[in-house]
Amino acid sequence: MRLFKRDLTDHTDESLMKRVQAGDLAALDHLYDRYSSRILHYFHRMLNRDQEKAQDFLHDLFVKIVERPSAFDTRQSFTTWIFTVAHNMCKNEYRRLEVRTRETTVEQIRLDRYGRPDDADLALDAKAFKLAVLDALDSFEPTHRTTFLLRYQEDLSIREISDILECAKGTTKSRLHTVTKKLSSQLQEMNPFAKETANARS
Amino acid sequence: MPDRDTALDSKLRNALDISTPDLTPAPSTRADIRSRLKARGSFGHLLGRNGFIPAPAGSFGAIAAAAVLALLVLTGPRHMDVNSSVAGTYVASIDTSHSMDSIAMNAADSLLYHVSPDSLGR
Repeated sequence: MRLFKRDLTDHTDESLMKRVQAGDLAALDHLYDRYSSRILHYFHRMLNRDQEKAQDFLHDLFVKIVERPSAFDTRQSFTTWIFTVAHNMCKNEYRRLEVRTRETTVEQIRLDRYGRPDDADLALDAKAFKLAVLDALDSFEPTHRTTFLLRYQEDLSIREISDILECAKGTTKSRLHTVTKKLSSQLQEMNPFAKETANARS
Repeated sequence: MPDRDTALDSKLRNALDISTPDLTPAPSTRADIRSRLKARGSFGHLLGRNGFIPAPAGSFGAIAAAAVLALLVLTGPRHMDVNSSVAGTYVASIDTSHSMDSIAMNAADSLLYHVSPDSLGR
């Protein structure tokens, strides 16, 4: 048994992944601690806030990492790689859902999950704003949704997002512009900064 | 981070902030991936994964392969590849005494002992 636990906190994701490739459990724990919550939220928000599915997807993604760690080239950025895999999983899921002829609108899903919104609850506070943003997000097409999440949830750069989505930087910028414009118009009532934003962007 | 964060940008960031998480990963996920990584390092898994031995025979095959490897280690190159000057003396002295003894003993009791060129010629 090991007497002293190795401190891997200073290690980069890439060097941790190298250790995972060699079967290091402690390195896997560290990577999991760093990414599990981020990826889980990403899946949750990409998959219409279906908690069960998000948990399943998180599990599947880490199983992929463990079963085929050599799929990751340690010279690459781990963040870019893991979000590329996560994005591709979502894309496959959307494709699968398209095949199924389910006529459930986003509004119906929302009502099923949360019930009818009570006006009194929708006060102009952070919680209500958050809910409104997530609701609006559900109505966006997948590419816009993922671009938005990678930017505002993950704080990734335009370049990183472009690498993950395999598109030009200009495309990412234009998608972000479209999404924020759409959002600000959808959230006009909740967003006291709408005018300021419009001025800043023009 | 963006070059120019507008008020909406920071508000959106706050809305999507996950530092106080809405949901936490299921504990079973960590346990499962840990056990998978542990299993990945095992000999049987490596053999099975490479298609060397089909799945049902995987563990049995691993034992058989381990036994063959052990035999190779015990009887293989380690015993052959020795310093000739030292080994030669040692082996020769043992072999000589044994073979001489056995020849003397066998010769005395053997029927062949009684076969001579003359008897063969006849």
